[in-house]
Amino acid sequence: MARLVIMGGGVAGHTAASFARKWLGKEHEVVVVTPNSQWNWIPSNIWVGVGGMKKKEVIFPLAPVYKKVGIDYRQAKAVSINPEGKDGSDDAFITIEYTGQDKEGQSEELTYDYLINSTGPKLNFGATEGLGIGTEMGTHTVSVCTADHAEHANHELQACIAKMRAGERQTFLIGTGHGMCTCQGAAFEYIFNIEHTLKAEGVRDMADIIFITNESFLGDFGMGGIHFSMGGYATSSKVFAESLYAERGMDWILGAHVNKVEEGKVTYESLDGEIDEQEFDFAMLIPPFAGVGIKAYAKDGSDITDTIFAPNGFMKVDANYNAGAYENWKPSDWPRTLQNQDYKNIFAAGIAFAPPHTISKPMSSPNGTPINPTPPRTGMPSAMMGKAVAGSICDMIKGAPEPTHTASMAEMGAACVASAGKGLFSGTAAAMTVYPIIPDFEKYPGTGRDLNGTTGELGLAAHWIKHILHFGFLWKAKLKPGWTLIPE
Amino acid sequence: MIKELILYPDERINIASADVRHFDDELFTLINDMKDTIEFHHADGLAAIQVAIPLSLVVAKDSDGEWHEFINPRILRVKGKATSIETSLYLPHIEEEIPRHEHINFIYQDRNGEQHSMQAHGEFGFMLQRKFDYTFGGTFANKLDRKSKKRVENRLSINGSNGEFNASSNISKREYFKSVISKLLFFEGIFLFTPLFNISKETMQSLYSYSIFATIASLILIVGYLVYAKYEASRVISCTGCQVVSFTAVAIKYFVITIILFTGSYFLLNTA
Repeated sequence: MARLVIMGGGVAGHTAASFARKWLGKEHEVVVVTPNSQWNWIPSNIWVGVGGMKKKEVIFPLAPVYKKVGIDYRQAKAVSINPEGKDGSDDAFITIEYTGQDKEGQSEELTYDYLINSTGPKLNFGATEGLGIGTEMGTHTVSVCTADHAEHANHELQACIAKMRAGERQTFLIGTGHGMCTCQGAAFEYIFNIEHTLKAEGVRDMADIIFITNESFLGDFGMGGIHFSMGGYATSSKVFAESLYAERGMDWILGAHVNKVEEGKVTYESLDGEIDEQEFDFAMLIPPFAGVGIKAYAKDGSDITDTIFAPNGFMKVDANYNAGAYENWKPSDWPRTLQNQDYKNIFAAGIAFAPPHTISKPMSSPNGTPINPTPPRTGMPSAMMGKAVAGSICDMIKGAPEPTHTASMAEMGAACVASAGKGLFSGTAAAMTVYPIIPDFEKYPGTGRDLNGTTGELGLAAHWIKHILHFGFLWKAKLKPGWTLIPE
Repeated sequence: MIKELILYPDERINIASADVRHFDDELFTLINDMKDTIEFHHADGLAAIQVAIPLSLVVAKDSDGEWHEFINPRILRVKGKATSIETSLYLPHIEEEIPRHEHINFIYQDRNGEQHSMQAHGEFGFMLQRKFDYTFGGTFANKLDRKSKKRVENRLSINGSNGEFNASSNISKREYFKSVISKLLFFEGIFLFTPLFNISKETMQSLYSYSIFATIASLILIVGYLVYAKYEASRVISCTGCQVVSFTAVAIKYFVITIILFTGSYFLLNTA
């Protein structure tokens, strides 16, 4: 009998748990440790953030789903890992602290044979002065990172709409709240939904909408840009994004590291070293991500957190962390099996693994402040990683000496569906795919991307894709009949 | 050395250039070659992609005749809207009014990889905006609306350069399936109107035979489309979910049209 413990129940963890449960015999245990009682389909939070959807439409309780398929569910957060066991026992274990199930605050040691770290990000609001303290969002801005944040964002948005109705002009600032953020796609999608909502409410002419981002050009998306064919015309994501913004009368601020947030005002440093300010009435600024801060201890109790985790708190896996300067980066730097190299029974998936370096060109201001998007690791790639890691572990439980499945972002494409508006006929959207996520300059000289693998779709059709994805993925996540047929 | 320019309708102009990563002799040679090419054509600047090198590099000469080398340029800030009348070596004999910004602030790297920032305005600023656009793929024609694009295409073809601002190589092969099905069904649809005219029974019957053929061929092609699209989706690990959704929807659409048209033909054309 083996026990697989999965820390985190987001896209990667939930996918890994579902497949592991399906592939492993009943004699083996699958345990999910997650502090949340609800599962959240994060991409649809954007719609919650503009009042197009209710919070309850994007979440569902995990306990009944896990009970149905026989996954041991602990509503708790992981605090530390002891991969070598402790005095008197060689059994590896993690320490968890309950956040629910009537055991709030209680600690417990949970032994494991295999461990998946899919804890996702810590929303590091504290990294920017005034944006928040630690993982707690401040009061000056809103966020759409969780369903609760999105609900609050909509509440604030409605207040602004009321003010505009009363004749008060409002400035909306949407974007990244730090120079090292990822997830520009979410901010991109949110700003279009804000614009769409304001138009629908008839107050668009009372609003100034501004995008602020750490990208050095519009449409970088943390992937160094996308290039695709749309309506028969070859378009780069920069040309495409700029025309979308210009058409809607929205401005943008590029290469910005927001270093201070105050009531109604942000201060930011640009890539050219200039310090500037921007006022706002409503601001949605995405916080930078960090690892959740799990500690690791050796058998003798000494702290080995630095061995297992990178300084930013993400878990080290089979990536090349010594790739050096930008010109030496290769797709092979990126992890394939996602296995920790010191402890071979530990894996990481989704945002929780430490990337070897960024994808976009690393840049910094003359003052030495790094300002560039960090690699996106969301949605589909996370699910692919979760599935691959579950596959490897299942085979290893059955006797395989090495991981048997791989999920390298250098061999994976990404799709980005940015949709505005939620109505069946009133919305519009842009769907883009890019292959591979990590540019391979040797295989595809020039852009590093296979142009045959990149496509774009604009308009109502893409909008429907987003709808179908919403219902499809929630169906899959609830493990309803036929869930395995729905692709990642 | 003077390099050969790529000219319309060469689609390589649409390739988004990669950032320069190696600041070495190869790069310096390219910069010198671009300067030679600019002099030869009496131009004021070139983006590397204009000589078929997909690198984010612009070489330009300002009004004082001084050379500038901009590597991996990024426009950070713009001020003021303006219209500039522009020409491009890529589009011979074409002159168009293009919306630009009066003033730009940008950063770039020099040939040693050091980052600098700079401001530009007026004609030099417009030229840089045009050249920097090249490094992200596409010409100033991208800034034109559909009608003006067509007009430019027509003018170019009168001048002997036949083509369109179209990157057909980028389009998936499954579009061919759609194209053949559409053509088959288009004629089937047209034939539905033939009973309005005085046409012999034999002709009607042979048109009905065409309908049967078109229906069977369409159904086979729809299956072929689905199989091919599935193969194509599995070839690259991408958001397979999104792709399955989109091609299934297309297949259903064509299936419904095929059935409706055949039903029409059966009642209107079948005289047997």
